[in-house]
Amino acid sequence: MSGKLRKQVRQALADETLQAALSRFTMLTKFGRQMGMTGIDFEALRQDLHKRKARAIDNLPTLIKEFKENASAAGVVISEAENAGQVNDYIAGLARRRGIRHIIKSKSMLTEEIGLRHHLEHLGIRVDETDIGERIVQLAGEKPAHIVGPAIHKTTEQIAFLFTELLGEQISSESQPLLDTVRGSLRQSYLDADMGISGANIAIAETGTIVILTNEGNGQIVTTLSPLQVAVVGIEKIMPGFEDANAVLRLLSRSCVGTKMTVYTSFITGTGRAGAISGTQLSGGQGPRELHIVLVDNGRNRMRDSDDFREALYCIKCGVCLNVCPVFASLSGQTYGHVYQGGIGTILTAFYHDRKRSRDLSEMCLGCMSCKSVCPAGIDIPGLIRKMRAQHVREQGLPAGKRLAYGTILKHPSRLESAVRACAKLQEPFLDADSMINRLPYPLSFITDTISLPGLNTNLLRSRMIGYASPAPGKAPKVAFYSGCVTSFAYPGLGEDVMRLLEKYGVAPYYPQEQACCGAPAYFSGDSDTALALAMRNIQALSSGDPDYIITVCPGCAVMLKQEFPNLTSSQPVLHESALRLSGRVRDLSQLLAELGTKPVVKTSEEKKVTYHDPCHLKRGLGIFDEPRKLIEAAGYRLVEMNDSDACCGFGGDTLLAHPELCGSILQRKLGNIEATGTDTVVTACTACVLQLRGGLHKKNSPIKVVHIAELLAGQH
Amino acid sequence: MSDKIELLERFKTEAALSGAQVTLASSADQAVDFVLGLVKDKGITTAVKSASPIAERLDLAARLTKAGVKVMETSIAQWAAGLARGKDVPMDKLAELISAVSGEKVPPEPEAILRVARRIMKDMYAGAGLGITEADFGIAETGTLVTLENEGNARLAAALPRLHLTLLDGTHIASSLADAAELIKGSSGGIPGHKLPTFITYLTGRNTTADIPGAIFARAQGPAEEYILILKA
Repeated sequence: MSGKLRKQVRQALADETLQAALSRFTMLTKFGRQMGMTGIDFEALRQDLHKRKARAIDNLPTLIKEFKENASAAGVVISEAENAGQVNDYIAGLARRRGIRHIIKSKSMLTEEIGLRHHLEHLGIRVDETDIGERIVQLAGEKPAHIVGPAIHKTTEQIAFLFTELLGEQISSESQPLLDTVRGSLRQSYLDADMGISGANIAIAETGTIVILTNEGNGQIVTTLSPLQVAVVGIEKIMPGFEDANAVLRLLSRSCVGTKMTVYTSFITGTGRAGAISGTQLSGGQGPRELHIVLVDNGRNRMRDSDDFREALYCIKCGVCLNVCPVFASLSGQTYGHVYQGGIGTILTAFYHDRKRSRDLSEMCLGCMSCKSVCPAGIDIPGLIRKMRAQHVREQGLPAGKRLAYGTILKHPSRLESAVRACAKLQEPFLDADSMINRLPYPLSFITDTISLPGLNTNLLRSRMIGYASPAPGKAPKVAFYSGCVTSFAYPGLGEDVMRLLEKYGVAPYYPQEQACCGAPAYFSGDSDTALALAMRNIQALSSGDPDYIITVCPGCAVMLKQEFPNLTSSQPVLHESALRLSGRVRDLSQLLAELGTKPVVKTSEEKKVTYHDPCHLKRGLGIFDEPRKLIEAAGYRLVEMNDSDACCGFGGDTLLAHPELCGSILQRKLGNIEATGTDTVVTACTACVLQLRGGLHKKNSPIKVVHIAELLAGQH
Repeated sequence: MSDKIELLERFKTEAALSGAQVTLASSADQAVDFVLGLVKDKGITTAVKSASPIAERLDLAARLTKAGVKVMETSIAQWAAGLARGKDVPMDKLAELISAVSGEKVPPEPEAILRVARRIMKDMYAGAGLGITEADFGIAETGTLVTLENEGNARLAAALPRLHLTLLDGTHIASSLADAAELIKGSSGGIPGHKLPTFITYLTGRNTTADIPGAIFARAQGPAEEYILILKA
C-alpha cells in the first residue's frame, strides 16, 4: 500500500473544483457514448478490430520491415529508437543541425511518454503544443489529465489566467472570447514556427503511410505547414493495410467522443510535390520537404514478448476506458502520476515508466469491468490488472497481512469459520441496535468512515443448512446452492430465504456442506495458489450430488465458479474437465428463476415503487440485467430506474483497505442516484453490493432499505 | 440510378449531422448563385482556391472576381502561371515577377522560388476569408469528404481560411469506408516510389473542441463554417 498515492487520492477528492469538472466530463462523455454506439454492431466491430490488432502485433517484426521499406521509397527518412533517450537525441540533433528555434507540435501521448517537449525546451528550443487542451496543460506545467482530453480538469478561470500570463494582457474567462484568444495565439505559432512534430494514430505497412487524427484541425496544419517534419510513432501502431486502418477509424471517435469520424483524418505517404514552373518540375510541394519518422520501442517489445501483457499493445488510445471508470471519475488523470491513466494506464506505466507506481495504481482497480465492456479493441483490462498483481506476488510475495488472511485462513474453511466466530465475539461492544457496527476502533476505524459493517452472525449458514445436505429424492431439477462468504457469515437469513424460495418454485435445492470461499479475494490480489486450492476444493464439493444447476446470490462468486475456475485449472486436464462441467451448470439465482419461468410465488398487493442496482459482475460479468427486472415487476413492484444503475457501488474488497476514501466517493455517487429516485427500497442481486449499500445508507441514517432480490421474491423484507 | 440517389441522400444527411452545411445545386447557375450569395452574406473579399474541375466548369474564379472577391490560386504552378498572365515565361522572368510580389530578390532557381512561394502562400491562406477546394469523392456512411493531393495546398486552403467551401460532384459518392479504401488504392498519385498520393484528407463535419468549458462543440482551429456544394450532375 502506498501512503503517497493515498495522499494524492485524498487531495483529488477534496478538490471541489476538480470534482465539479469531473462531473461535467462524466455527463458529457456518457451522452457522447450513447450517440457513438447508435446504429452499429459494436460487438462485431470490436471483434474485428481485436483480431486485426492481434494479427498485427503477432507479425510486428515483418510489418516494421515492410513499413520502413515503403516509407523510405516514398521519401521518408526513417529511423528506429529503443528508448526515450534515443528519440529525444535524434530529434534534438536534427533541430540543432537545421538551426531550428521554434517547433509546433500536435498531440501525441508517445511524446509525453518520452518527455520530448521538456527535452527540447531544456535545449532552448521553443515548443508550442497546438492541441488546445495540451497547450493548456503545457502552460500549466502539468501532465495530461486524460488521453484524449488533456485539460478536462481545468476551469475557464484557470485557463484565462494561463493565457493572461503568456500574452501579458488581461484575458477574459468567458468561454467564447477565451477560445478566440487561444485560437489566435496558436495561429501565430503556426505562422512563426519552422518545424513540426506529430505522432500517429495508425501506420500502414503496405504503403508506408501514417494516419493522424484531430478534431481541432491542428494536426492538419502542423503536418503540412513546416518544411521540416518529424512523426514519432510507437511500433504497436503499425498495421498491415488500409482495411485495418478502417477498423480503427470505425471505432475510435465513436468510442471516445461519440462522433462517427474524427473531423480531420490525414493519411500521409512520404513527402509531396508541386507541379512544374517554367517547364521545370519542382522538387517539393507545400507539405514537408523532409519527413522523418521515428519508430519507437521504449518497452513495447518487452510487452510483446510477455504472454500476459501483449494484449495491452492493442490499445488504440481512444480513452473510453477512462470515461467509464468510476475511479477515474473520482480522481482525474493527474493522480496517476505518469502519462497514462486508468486501468490501461496502470499496465502501460509498468512497461514505460515505473513498476513500483504501477503496483500502487493496481490497488485502485475495483474490478467493475466497465472498461472491459467498452474497449473497442476488446482488451480485458481488469484481467491484465489481476495478472499484474499476480506478477508482483510471484516476485515479492504477499504482504504479511494478506498472507495470513488468504493462505492461512481463507484457504481452510474450518479456520475461516473459527476466525469468524472469534470476531463475532469481539464485535459485541461495537454493535448498535440494528446489529450493525457503526464505528470500529482505531486502527480499523478508517473502514467504518463511510460504511457501517454488518455484525457477523455466530449461527453460521452451514449449521443452519444441515437438513439440506442432499437433494430431496425423486425431485428435479437438483439445485446446489453456493452461498458465498457474505451470505454465510453476515446474512445467513438470506441464505434460508433462498432455500425457501427454491422450494416454492418446486425444485430440489440442497446445500453442499463442503463448499468453501470461492477464492475471489485471493485471486484478485494475485494469490493464485490460494485461489487454485479453493477452486479444487469447490469443484469437488459442488460436484457432489450431481446437481443440474448450481446457483449463487453473489455474482462475484458466480464469475469465479463459471469463468475463473476453468482458467485456474487449465494446466490440469482432469480437473479442468470437471471445472468446465461445473461451469455450464452455474446460474445466478435470477437467471435460474427466469429460466424456470417467471411466475411469481409471492406477489405484493401494495402498489410499491422500488429501484434496482445492477451488480457489476452480474451485468458485465454474466450479461444478466433483464432477468432481475422482469422478476421484480412480475412480483408486482413498480420499477423506477435510477441514473447509472450499472455504475459500481464502490465495494472493492482490497481497494477498500488501500483507498477507503476512494471507495467512499464512488459509493456516495451511487447513493445519490438511489436517493434521486424517491423510492424507499433499492433491490439488488449481489450480497456484496447489499453489504456496501446497506452499510453506506446506515451510516447516513437513511430510511432507504436495501433488499436482495432473493429476499424480495421470498416476501422476506 | 436510384442507388446513386440514395447514396447522395445518405451523404447529405450524414454530412449535415456532422456539422457541415450542405447545398445541392441542380444547375451551374444555381451553384454560382449559391457561392455569390455566400460571399455577399459573409462579407468575403479574398478567397484562396485549389485546382477544381467543377470551379473551371462554373467559371467560378471569374464570377467571384467580377463580384469583387480577390481569388488566389494556391497550387504553385497555377499561381506562377497567374503571375505570368498565362504565358510561358522563362525562369529568370518568373523570378522577377515573384520578386515584385514578395518584396525580396528571388534568384531564378526552382528551390528558391519554391521557398518564397511557400512563404507567400502561408500568408494567403491565413488571411483569406474563404478557401475553395474540390473533394475527389464523398463517403455516404459517414458524410466524409475525401481529397487526394501531392502538393498539400488543398489541405491548407481547407484548414486556414475563415470559411471553407468544398465542391463535390454528386455522382462521386462511395458508400462506405471500405469502398473509399478501394477507390483510393487505385490511385498512386504519380510520384515514383509512392504507393499512394502524399496527402489523403478525410474531412467530416466542422472542426470542434471540448477543451474550453462552456464551449462544447465550438469551432476549434479550422474554419468557422464548413460548406459543401454538391453539383447534382
